Amino acid sequence: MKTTEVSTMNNRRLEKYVKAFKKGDEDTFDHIYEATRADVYYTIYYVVKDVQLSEDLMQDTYLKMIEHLERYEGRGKFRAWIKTIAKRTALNAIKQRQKETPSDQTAEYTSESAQLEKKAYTQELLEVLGEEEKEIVIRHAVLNETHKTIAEALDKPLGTITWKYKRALEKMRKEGGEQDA
Amino acid sequence: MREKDMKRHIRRKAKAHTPDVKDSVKASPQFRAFIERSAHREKRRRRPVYALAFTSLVAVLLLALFIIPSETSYSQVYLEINPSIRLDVDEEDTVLALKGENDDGDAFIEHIDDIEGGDFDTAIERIIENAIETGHLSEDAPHILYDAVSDDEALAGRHTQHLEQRIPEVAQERIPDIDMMRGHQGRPEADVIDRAQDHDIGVMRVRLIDAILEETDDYTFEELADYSVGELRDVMDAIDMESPMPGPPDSVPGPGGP
Repeated sequence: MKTTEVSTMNNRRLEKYVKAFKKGDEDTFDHIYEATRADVYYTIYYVVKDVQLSEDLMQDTYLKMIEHLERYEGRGKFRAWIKTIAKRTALNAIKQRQKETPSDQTAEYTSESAQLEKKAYTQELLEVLGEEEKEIVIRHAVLNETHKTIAEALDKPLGTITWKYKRALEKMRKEGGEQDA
Repeated sequence: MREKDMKRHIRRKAKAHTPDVKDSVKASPQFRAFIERSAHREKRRRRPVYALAFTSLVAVLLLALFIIPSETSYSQVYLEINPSIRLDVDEEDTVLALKGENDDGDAFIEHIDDIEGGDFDTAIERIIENAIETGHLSEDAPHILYDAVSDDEALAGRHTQHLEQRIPEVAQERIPDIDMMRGHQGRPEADVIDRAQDHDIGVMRVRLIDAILEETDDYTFEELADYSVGELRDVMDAIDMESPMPGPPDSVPGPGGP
């Protein structure tokens, strides 16, 4: 039961925790955090594509959420609300980095460090999938993005995304027993 | 592995690879300041509320003693078509409230206006028609759990019969073999309501899952909570299980049922 709590916590229960947290119930933050951490992290990661920066921005996102929580009116959309904060935080960080880092250094970073990070990330998570398949699968299964939204974000035809998603699931199905073990 | 199981697997894997920043957030000065500020504000907010609550309680007691002649009966009518919804219907057959019992139920009733204050018959018609339009009910998915509960047993019985008669009538043209299973056997207990909320399903589905688990050890509650009513029906077929409650006389008989 504990292992599925995050992914299966429904919006009503999440709203209850948010309401209690707004009233100063410190312990409810743990539930809110556990219910949203994957949404927050992967929303950021697929903007910045940098593991270390994503971790820093994840913390910033939760602090911004706390800062603005007074204005959150609670209409069952908390998960969408915090994902919006996460995305905005990530986009601002990219802009900031572009201002601060000369373009050649950025390119160097992308070609070396980020590639290494991506490689490690691929090895650890959903091992059987390629980088693009993994992104499609996580965007759809974790972030609940539609295939259409993913197609727009990755600039690919909708049919390609649908096909790649199905193929990725097939690959994982084949490896299913081993991965679950 | 079914797609739902795959998605669960992916979410579990994805979450396991998420960095944990909870402790650093909680240790931040912003977090501490927020908690202190919120707790202080809540304390101040409560004082007048207590006084108001006491005054209101006295007023309600006086009303109950001297003004209100008798209690109005109503029943709670539950419908589960994977979205789970509830109607409160009074003895005049007027719909007092329409509520979603889970997130899908909330989404489902967003598209149905002007039910509250209208009559029960029209409400059933519009709900079933909308369920067919949105594909929640179809020839491939003809399953529906239903029941009415009330302190007034006669009223609950009448509303149950009304469902049993009206739903097949409305659905008949497009779903001639609608499969109705009665779901409740009385008011749901607190633990049933808690589990329904935890798993974002209706209380009738919790009861049905409990009944299935009494018959077989092949599944867990968590697994079956992801199943639709139709999939639960398939499980019942597979283990040759009868419906826990008899459906309407002219419904499709349950596995091993009448």
